[in-house]
Order: sequence, then C-alpha cells, then structure tokens
Amino acid sequence: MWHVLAAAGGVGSLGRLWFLPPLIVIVSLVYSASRYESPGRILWRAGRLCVQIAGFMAVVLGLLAWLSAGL
Amino acid sequence: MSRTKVDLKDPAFAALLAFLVPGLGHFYQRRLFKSVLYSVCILGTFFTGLRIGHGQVVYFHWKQPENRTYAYLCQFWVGLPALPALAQAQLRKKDAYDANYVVDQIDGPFSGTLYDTDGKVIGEITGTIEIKSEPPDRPQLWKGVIKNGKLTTPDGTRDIEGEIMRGGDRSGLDPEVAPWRIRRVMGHFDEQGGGNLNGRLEGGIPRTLWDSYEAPLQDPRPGNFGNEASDLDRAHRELGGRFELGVVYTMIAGLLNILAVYDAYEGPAYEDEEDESQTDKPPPDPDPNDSKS
Repeated sequence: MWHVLAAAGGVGSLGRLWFLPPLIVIVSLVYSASRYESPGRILWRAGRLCVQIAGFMAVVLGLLAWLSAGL
Repeated sequence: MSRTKVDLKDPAFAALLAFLVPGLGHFYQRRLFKSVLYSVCILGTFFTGLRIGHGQVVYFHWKQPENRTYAYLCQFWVGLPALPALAQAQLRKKDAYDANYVVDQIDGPFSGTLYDTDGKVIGEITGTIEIKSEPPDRPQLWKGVIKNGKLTTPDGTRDIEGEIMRGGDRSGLDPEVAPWRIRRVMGHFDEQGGGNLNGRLEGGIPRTLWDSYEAPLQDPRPGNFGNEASDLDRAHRELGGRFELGVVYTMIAGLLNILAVYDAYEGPAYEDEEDESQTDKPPPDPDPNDSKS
C-alpha cells in the first residue's frame, strides 16, 4: 500500500498532490470568511475546516489505496 | 433580509465592486481584514492557476458545441481578470486567429535556430524581422526579411541577413492572436548579401499582452507545424496534467468569489456570537408582559 501512497504523493518528484494543500487552506479561509465577521473566529473556523477536509481526503485516499493494493 | 450588524453601506454597489475585483467591495465597506483575505486568496488562486497552465487555461469559446469552455462559466466570476477572455472571443477579427495570414506588415525582434538540410543545428540567429504578404494582395502568402541579424555558432558570431518563407515539413506563421507569448515563424531560410547559407529556420517574435492574454485556443487550426492538429492539442502536449490543474485552480477561484460577492451584499451568514447550530432554533416566544404595556 505504501508504494501507492508514495506514487500519489509524488515522493521523489513534484507530485500533483502538492497542489492540494494550498487549495484546502484557501477554500477554508474564504468559506469561513463568508460565514463570520471577526478575524479571530474566521481563522479558528478555517483551521477547523482545513483539518476536516484534509482528514476526509486522507480517509478517501487511504481507502482507494487499500482497494487498489492488490492490483 | 440582511440581519447583520455590519455596516454594508450600499450593498449592491459593494457586490458589484466585489465581483469586479475580489476584495474591493469589502474595502469599500471598510471590512479590511476580509478585503485582504478575499483579494489574496481569490486572485492568488486565479493567477496561480493561470501560471500553472501557462496562460492557456482561461478562454471563452462557445460557437462549436463540442468545444465549449464550460469551465469559463466558473472562471468568469473572478471578475475583471477573467473578462478579457470575452473581449478576445467577441471583439477580434476572424483572420486574427488564422495562421499564415498577413494583412499588415509585421516588424519585431526575432530569435530562432537555423538547421541544415539534415536537421543538424547550425546556430542561433537573432535580429529583427519584417514579414509581409507577397504578392501584396495575397495575405495567405508571406515572406520575412531578417535584418541586423547575428548568427552565433560554435565557431563564433557573425552578421547575417536573409529571407525566410514557407517551405518544408514544419513551416508557417502562427496567428496574430494565441495564448502563447511567442508567435512562431518557421520556414526555409536563404542568406542574402553575399553569403550562401541556407536551411530551415525555426524561431519566433514576441506577442503583445493583448494578443496573448486569455486568447482562445483554436480547434482545429490550419497550418503545418508538425504533428499538431490544433491549439488544444499543442497545449495538452506541452502542459500534460498541468492543463487540468490550471483549469481547476481558476475555476475554484471564480466559485470562491461568488461567496465573497454574496458576503458583500448580505453580510456574513452568522453573527460572531452565534453558531450554525443556533440558527436552526426557532425564535424565542415574545414576552407576554410586553403585550400588556
């Protein structure tokens, strides 16, 4: 399974997954900014949303890697 | 409908500003933190996507149903940075997208590589080029004259002048408008002015920003540039997966600005002291004592 994750993450080269974290951060910040007004709450909520999105994506990636392990 | 305590000033005007330039509507409302946040995040994402896609991922093409750029429906919402794509598609003359089409004389700096008949590199040529149709009433036929040229070879540098015209496997002149910063000029080169060097010359002249920014990819594109069937084919060959990455980045930027525009118009969805979970609760019952008074 590790080689699948390594390939997805582009270990040894600039993999496409490296384009994902900035998008997660930006989507979280803009979404939270449209929900709340005070900077502190926006940043706090954005951080929480970041972790939620990243966690969800990691679970999906792990699931797909597990399903494709025997292929 | 707005129930926010934030002073939205003129919400419609703020929403218009927020659409045109992400963050500008909030700046008008003196919501400076949000103004900077929206501006940096949305414009940063859009121009990063444009950079990843080498400027070829944002354009508007709607006439051919099989090649419609549905992604532009999302990219459009970034506002002014994405609007030139509409201008490029609507305001340009049709022949501006035709390869090997010269109406007015083209002058500009030129740089290219000269190959011999076996395909080996002879050297690099830099200088200026004048391209005009010949005969003058046939814009599909053109000839370029290279002046003040310098030929750099492993043996050294010397002056060179000559003519370039269509001929051979890879030859042609790129259209006036295309999303590449270099307009390719390829053809058979004959040295003039005493020398007898000849071969295949592949080079280009720079395009202006107006001739390249968000210019549409043409499909199919006439001309003989090797194995390229179209501009879209060339873009995918040069960019690979970065083409889709650039499209996704720019699309997300546009979609995020819809949130920003709505925020400028209506204010934030929740007050700072409340939370999403509290908004579903029914409003409290009115105090019966109030009705007596």
